[in-house]
Amino acid sequence: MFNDYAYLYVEDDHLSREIMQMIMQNVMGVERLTILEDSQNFMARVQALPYQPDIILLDIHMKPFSGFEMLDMLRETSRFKNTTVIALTASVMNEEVEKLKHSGFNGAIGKPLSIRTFPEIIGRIIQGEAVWHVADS
Amino acid sequence: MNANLMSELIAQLGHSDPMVSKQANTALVEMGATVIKPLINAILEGSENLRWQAANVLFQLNDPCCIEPMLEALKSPNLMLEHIAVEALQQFDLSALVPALIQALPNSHCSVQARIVTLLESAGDQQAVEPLVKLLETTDSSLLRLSIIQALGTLGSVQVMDAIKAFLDDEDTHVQKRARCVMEFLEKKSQGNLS
Repeated sequence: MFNDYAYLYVEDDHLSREIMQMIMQNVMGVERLTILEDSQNFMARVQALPYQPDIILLDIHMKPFSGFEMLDMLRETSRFKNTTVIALTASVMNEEVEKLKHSGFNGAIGKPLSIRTFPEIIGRIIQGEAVWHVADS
Repeated sequence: MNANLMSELIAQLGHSDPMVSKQANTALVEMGATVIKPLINAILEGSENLRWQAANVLFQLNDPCCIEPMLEALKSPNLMLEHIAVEALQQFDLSALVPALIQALPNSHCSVQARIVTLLESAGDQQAVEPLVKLLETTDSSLLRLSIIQALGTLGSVQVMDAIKAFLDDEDTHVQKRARCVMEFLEKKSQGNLS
């Protein structure tokens, strides 16, 4: 199921990139995963991808463009207007979660990522559910 | 219980096709406690892929017999196995695991350390404060610094204020913000304004 989709992950923290790659490849069997280490020339790099991502995962605290700014850029194009975009955040503060909800993200996932819960959350997102899972309980 | 079927399913866990290993996983979980011993053997002696897949089944069985092999797995250089182990331990009584988690902390992979930090935070044991401060002062991962500062705030020891103060001007603004929040919390606590 997971391998039917293409994923894009934008993340500057090497630790999070490593876990994401490990989970996507080993646990979820995903073959089409692109990881960007910064948000420089974001849209140009996204447009140049060999395949259009179906699910985009954006770290919020990125430079030079934040996750919010990258989301705005995506939504301005007809190609990505309705693409599923998920925020990744290490913040568990309620005000940030509220801000994410009102900014047009389709969901949020807390960091550090969990091998057990991450695939399950992505499965729910693929089914069309909006998931706001910022802390493991 | 058919021992041959069990062995075959355990071998299939390490299969390169994720669908085959997923089906074996489901079948073994359904078999329940009888598969625990051979799965522990697979964690200790299997191939790299089989070891973490076996740990993943044990994780889902949620049996206290899994605690010892999971603690042992934390010492493994197999990153997937380490991650499964640390997440599996989360299901059990953490207060009894604090010494073992503290012991595993300095030698684990950075991403596993972040998970151990959250477990130590949940356990709420003051023994964790000193090793957490030590790790805070040496790690180059901003995500880990963030987790440790959060944990130190939760553990609520005012003695850590000096250590956290150094991160008010951390290179990562998110870490700065978290350090500021925790400092404010601990200052109020030291003045007796918090229970």
